[in-house]
Amino acid sequence: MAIWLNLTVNGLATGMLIFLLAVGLTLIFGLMDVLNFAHGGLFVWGAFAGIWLFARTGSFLLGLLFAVVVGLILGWFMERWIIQPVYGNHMQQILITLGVMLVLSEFIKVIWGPNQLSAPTPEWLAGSWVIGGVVLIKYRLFIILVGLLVFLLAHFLLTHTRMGLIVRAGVMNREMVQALGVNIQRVFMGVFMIGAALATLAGVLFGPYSGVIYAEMGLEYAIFAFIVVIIGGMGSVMGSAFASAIVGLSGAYVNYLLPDLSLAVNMLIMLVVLLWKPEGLFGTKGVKG
Amino acid sequence: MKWEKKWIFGAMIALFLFVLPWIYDSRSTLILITQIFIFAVFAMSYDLLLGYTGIISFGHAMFFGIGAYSTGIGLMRNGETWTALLYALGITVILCLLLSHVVGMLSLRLKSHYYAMLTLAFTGLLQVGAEKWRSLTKGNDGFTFHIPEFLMDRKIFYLFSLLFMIIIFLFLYQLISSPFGKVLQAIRENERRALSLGYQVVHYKVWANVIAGVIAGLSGMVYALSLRFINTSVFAVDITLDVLLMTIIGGVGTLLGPIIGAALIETAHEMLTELADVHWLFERWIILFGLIYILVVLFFPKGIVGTWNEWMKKERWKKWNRLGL
Amino acid sequence: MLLEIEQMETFIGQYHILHGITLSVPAGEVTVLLGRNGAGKTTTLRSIMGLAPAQKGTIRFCGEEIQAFPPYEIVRRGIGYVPEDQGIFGDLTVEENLKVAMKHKDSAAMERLQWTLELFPDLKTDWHKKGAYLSGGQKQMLSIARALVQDLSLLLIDEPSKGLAPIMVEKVAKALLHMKQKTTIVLVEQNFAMASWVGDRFYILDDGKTVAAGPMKELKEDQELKRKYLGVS
Repeated sequence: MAIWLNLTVNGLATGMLIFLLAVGLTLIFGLMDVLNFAHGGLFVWGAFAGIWLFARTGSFLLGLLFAVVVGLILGWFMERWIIQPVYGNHMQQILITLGVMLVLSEFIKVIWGPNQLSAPTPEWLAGSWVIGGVVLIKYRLFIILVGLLVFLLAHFLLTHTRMGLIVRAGVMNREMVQALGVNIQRVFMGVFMIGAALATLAGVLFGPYSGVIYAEMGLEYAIFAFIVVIIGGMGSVMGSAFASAIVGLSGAYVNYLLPDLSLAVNMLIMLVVLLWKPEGLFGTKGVKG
Repeated sequence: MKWEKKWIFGAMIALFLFVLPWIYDSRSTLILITQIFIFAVFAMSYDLLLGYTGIISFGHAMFFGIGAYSTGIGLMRNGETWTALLYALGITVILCLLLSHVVGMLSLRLKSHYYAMLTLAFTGLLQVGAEKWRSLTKGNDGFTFHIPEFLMDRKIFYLFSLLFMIIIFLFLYQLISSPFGKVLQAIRENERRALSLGYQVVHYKVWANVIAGVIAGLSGMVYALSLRFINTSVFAVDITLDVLLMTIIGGVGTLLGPIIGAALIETAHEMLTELADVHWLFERWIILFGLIYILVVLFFPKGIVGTWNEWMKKERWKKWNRLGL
Repeated sequence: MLLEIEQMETFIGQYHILHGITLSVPAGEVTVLLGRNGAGKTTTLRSIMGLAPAQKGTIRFCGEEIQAFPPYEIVRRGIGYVPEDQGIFGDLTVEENLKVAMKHKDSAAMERLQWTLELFPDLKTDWHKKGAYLSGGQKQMLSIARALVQDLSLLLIDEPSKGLAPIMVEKVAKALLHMKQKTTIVLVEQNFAMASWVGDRFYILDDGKTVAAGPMKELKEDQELKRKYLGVS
């Protein structure tokens, strides 16, 4: 029993990290049909920038904050100088964001060297609680907490503020939102920057979780995020949350039962969704080419 | 250039390449050019998707890797015979056919992003699979194997690769000039229009995908034969990225473009690897490629051959105008 | 003139859709755009809104040239749009659909909302219903209401009678006549009965050009014109 509870905590923690990555991806896609293949690059930058400052100052919170700031800046830069020039041209867009992904993760190696860095757990989050014979690692609970907070905040903003309504309306019908007097360009810039900041936040949180950070992890986790976005439905935050939990939990359980199949099982879920409901479990957007 | 002139020119270059090993017998150059031939085939197969049909794949390496692994595993298990090679060929074709068909059917009816994501994810899965299934693949360390005696000679292998490239080139040339190829290009130009003209767009896209997949598998086979070694790197994103660069820098939607792109990228690889001894920054040559790639996509989306063709067309117009026609 | 368009030409992709639209809309009237399917009526509205920007010609609104403005600038100057498919956000409730359109919540805006809800009392009963679950007529009303809560002086409406039951068409037509007191209207309409009922003047579009214009009364009598461009008699 204890082992299953532990696996569940593990799975949820992984799921939350993937969720943080997927939120930005799914909203950016929903609003502007832009699939940002460079999203994983932001994840790595968050990890390295945050952990670096954490190591220098000893303050993990400062590291988190720094990662978020780096995400906002990179997000602004990417939207303004990479995505905007190729609006409306899907092929160029997809091709260029992959190039940015590559440059981002290679620049990591230029600045911090090609080897992996160790990322210690901050003292106040180290260790674990033992509750009724079950060992719960504090840091993993912390990730789940942060993920839940982000989810609740995102949900609140999307359902209770006019800005949030505009974002949701924009996912459903971008043109109509414009025809109602909204500067969709500015909304998109905002969403892009917040999405980028959540990706960098996920990166820095990932550091102490895995213990090491390395430049290639961006692509690995971006693939998880893509799978989540497909399963949950492009443009749906709720769908991403749900699919992240599925992917995280099934990964954790299968990794325990049949370790060799842990990646395959997520692919399998994705394939089933694509066959059965290609717009995703919570999708509100047309997906036909 | 007129049509006939173009072919005569091409034949002369082919002839030159055929006799090159006997004129200039440098081992490292021969190896480099052989690699160029192999990657040119891989890049041409990619261009059938990207340039001629407008499909973006981020996992073309999966077919390449399947071809390479079938060859490596086949020759190691069954001995370095022609029969073993033939078996490997059969397995490559069947696997690539099946996989490209499944991936295509799943995602080509959806928006273009899905295919890009799905291929990326599939290739990631295959790479992890190759790492984990150690009994078959020896994982990341890889393994060496022997190839049929006849192909051991560098010059013969060079000629073999050259012939391989020419055959695929002519095949693809025929294909894109055929009615089938015209439909693919119509899909690239305006998918809705092609659909409203009554073409089964998905059907055509899936077939383009299957053909590109099988040819990529073949190029992976020849690649494995040339190295006589294989590890999981054949499934790496780097391979897909290289082929993207070759196609885009060379010129999408042309067959000559990928060949020129392959020559440029492979030569650049070679030079940059040497320069890595001079300064460590050159080890990070991928950045350089990445930046060039971004700039090309932004400002030079037609690539070398595409831009050249456009320029030639303009020049011809000018000449005609001068003649008052 | 509230709105004046001169020789407007619009391309969509490689297709040349509008070849020269010239029309003027006087304040306080209902101007109806007529013409066969594919004549360019919808594109004309979309070009005015900046959703399908015109490549040539000028669009003057209150004397200001607006053809190069992005849609949100055009809306800010007081033009509202009700598209053919109504553009309802299906996942949002009636209230939320209106909220997206209401940039400010000052007293003037609340007054407009009040006025609009008096015009379409049905919306109040479905206040918390999601847009996707509304009937066709309700969607049409919501779409018009969503434009009316903005600070408008010109409203562009694309085929409001399309797909509606006759009784709903009548309802919408009455609403339009009522709205006339507050805002100028440009109406695209295939239903000639409705067009001639609410319209003050007409323009006929054919193959992306304006080919005829005049007071609605004249068109009612001119059988030749009707047969030639509208296929009705």
